[in-house]
Amino acid sequence: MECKEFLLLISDYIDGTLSSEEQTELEEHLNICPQCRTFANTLKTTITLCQSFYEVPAPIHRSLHHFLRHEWEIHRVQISIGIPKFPFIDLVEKKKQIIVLIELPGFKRKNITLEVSPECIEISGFNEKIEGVYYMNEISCYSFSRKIKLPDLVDTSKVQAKLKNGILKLTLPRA
Amino acid sequence: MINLSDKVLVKKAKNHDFDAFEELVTRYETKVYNLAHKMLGSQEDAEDILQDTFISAFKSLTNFKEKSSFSTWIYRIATNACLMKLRTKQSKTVSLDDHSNIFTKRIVDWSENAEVSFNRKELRTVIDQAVKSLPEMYRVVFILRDIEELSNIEAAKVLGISVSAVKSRLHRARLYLREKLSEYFSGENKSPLLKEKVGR
Repeated sequence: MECKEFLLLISDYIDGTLSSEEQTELEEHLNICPQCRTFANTLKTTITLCQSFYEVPAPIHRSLHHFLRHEWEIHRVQISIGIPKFPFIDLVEKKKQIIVLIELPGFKRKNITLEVSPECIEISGFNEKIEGVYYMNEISCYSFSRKIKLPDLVDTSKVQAKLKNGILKLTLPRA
Repeated sequence: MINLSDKVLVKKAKNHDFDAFEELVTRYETKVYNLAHKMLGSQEDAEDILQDTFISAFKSLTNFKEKSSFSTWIYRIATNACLMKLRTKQSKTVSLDDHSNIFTKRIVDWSENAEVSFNRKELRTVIDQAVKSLPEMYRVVFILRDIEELSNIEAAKVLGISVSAVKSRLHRARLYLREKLSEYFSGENKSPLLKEKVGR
């Protein structure tokens, strides 16, 4: 085995994932090549030295658990009383693009405000409510505001928005 | 709770059992915190990632289909949060050289006394800086594999890349770090470490 081949296989050797033939060959090379032996030793030591762990400091641990319990309770209450999210949103990633579909039935273009930053989108809007006597009043959402975090950064200069059949479709190329 | 598997705890947490979720947090908080600290190089950022990861976990717990393990899932959330933060910070990284000419340099054996003969605190700073100077996709592979001790397959699942991509990035990251530590131990580049030019 040449030193160059050794260099390609050294990681697998350290991980013990070489075939037995390769391992024997590599070990034979190590026996006769002090340079590669030193290289292997220093590489193993590098990995060992890097293996230190940061422990969570005790105050951070305490405040994390306290915070999570608090947020958990709020979340549960929201679920149990059924606070609806509006509008419903689908967030899809496809070919370096993030596509956001937002259900906005009956909302007019002029009444929708959309703000896109590289990390999130914020959408708000309203619908005019008919003034009169209501015998049924089930449509719950006449105004809304929702902010969502995007899974990746987007290029805000190339955003496309299309409102069709009550669905607002945003196409956001990844930055 | 301590004796229950992650899988059972996930089921309980999905049924609104906070104690079960808290046990999962206890099991993974150090791993997440360590990953974030090594990825981002700051305690403050690591704290943010820690909190964001677990908030995001319980809010999306109902969508967790358990096709992967909880471990893979939580690492994926944490890793994505770290990469997102790094992109907003536009961190500077170095290029990983082609190591084919490595043997043109004199190879000195510093492995024997590395830990005892050098100042531990300084050494830790040097190591952290060296890890942080790796390009992010090499850094994250190195941390998941060699520090958090995930298998190649687990790391590949977390990152959504192939096992061979994990192996090749890990290999290059290790060689790069060995170079950095060799420079340090041979006194070529003592603190401030890593002054090299930046670029990919």
